[in-house]
Amino acid sequence: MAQKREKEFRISEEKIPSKAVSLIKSINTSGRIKWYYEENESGNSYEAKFKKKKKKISIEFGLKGNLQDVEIKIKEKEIPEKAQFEIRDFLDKYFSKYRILKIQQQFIDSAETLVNKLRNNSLLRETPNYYEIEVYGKKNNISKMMEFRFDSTGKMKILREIIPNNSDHLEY
Amino acid sequence: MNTKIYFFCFFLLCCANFFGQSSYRYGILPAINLNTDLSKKWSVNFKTEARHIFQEKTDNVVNRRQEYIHTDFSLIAAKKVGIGNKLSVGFLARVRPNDIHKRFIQQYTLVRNYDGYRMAHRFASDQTLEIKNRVEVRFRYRTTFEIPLQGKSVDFKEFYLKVNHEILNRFENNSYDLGLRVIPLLGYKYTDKSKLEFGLDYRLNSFLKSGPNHTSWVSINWYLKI
Repeated sequence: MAQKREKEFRISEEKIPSKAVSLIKSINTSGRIKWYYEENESGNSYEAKFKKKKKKISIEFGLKGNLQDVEIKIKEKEIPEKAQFEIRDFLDKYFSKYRILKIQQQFIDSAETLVNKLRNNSLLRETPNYYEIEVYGKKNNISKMMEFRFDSTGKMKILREIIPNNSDHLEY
Repeated sequence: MNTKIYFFCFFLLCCANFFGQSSYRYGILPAINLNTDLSKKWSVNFKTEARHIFQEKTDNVVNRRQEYIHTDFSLIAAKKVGIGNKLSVGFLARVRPNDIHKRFIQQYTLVRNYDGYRMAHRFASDQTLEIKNRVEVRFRYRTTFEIPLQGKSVDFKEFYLKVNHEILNRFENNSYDLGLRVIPLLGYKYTDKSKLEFGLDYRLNSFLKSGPNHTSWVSINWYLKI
C-alpha cells in the first residue's frame, strides 16, 4: 500500500514565484495568507492557506507558480447525500471501527476558472472533482491512519496510509 | 480569549505568591526517555530523571546550596487499546542517597491530531511506598499541547512548543493535597526517533491548607526511540 509522507514548512511570501502571489492577491481573501513549502513523494510545491467566507482554503502551486489544485475543508454534512452514503458504505466495509478526521474538497481546473470562481465565491457551492478524507481506523485489529480519495459520486479512487508522527513525548 | 485571560491571571497569582510568604526551591531536572516497540500493540518506555537543587527558601530563610536530591528510574509497558489510545502499567524506583522509594503506575493516554496542533490527555494513578510502610496515592490528569513552530506538523529538524498542564490529587494518612504543574518546553526534533526539549517545570503544592510551596525546575528532556 502506498504511504503518505509529507514535510512542509512556513516560507515567506518573497520566496514564492510572483505569478502565484499575484493570483492569490487577486482573490478577496479574509485574514492573512500563510505560505508553505511542501515536500512529498510526488514532488515539491508551494501552498497558500487562507480563509474566505469562514472556509479554510488551500491552493497548491508548482515550483514555477502554476496553479495545481484548490482544496476546501468541509464538514461531512456538506457532501451531497448520495455521495456521502457511498463513502460511508465503503468506510464501514473497510474498517471495523473508524473516525473521520478531516474532509477536503479538491477542485482541478484551469487557473483562470478556479480563481474566477473563488473571486465570486461560486466555487464554495460547486461539486468538487474529488473528496480527500483522512480517517483513523481499525482494520484486522490494527489501528492506522489513512487518506482516501473519492470521486464526486463517492467512488473510492486512491488510498494511502499516513505515517503518523511519533507521539512518545506526548505520552510520557 | 477567556482562556488566555484565565492563564494570565493564574500566572500573576503564582508570581504574587512566589515573592510572598511562600516557600520555594529551584533546580535542574534532566531526563532521558527511551522507547521501543515490542510488537504492533505493545511498547516499553524506560525513563531516568535526576534532580539537583540550586536554591530554596523555607521559613523565610533563603539557602543557596548545590545538592543532589534523587534519581528516578521507571519502566512502563503500554498496550494500544484503540485509535491513538494506550493503557500502561509500570514501576518507578526513586533512588535517594539513603533510601529507595517504590512507586506503581497506571495510566491511560489519548493522543489526538488537530489541524495545526496535537493534543494528548493522560489519566494516571500511582501508589508510592515510603518509609515506615506509608503509602501515598495520587490521581493525576495531564493535558499536553504540541504546537509546531515551522509548519502544520512537526517534521524532522524543526522546532515545536510543548505545554503540559497537570492536576495532581494526593492522598496520604487521611490528608489531601492538590498540586498543579505547568511545563512549557521548547522542543527540537532531530529525526522521528530523537527529540530534545528544554524549558521550565513549575510546580505548585500545599496551597489549599498552608503557605503555597513553589518548585521550579529547569527541565531538559531527551526522547529516543530505539
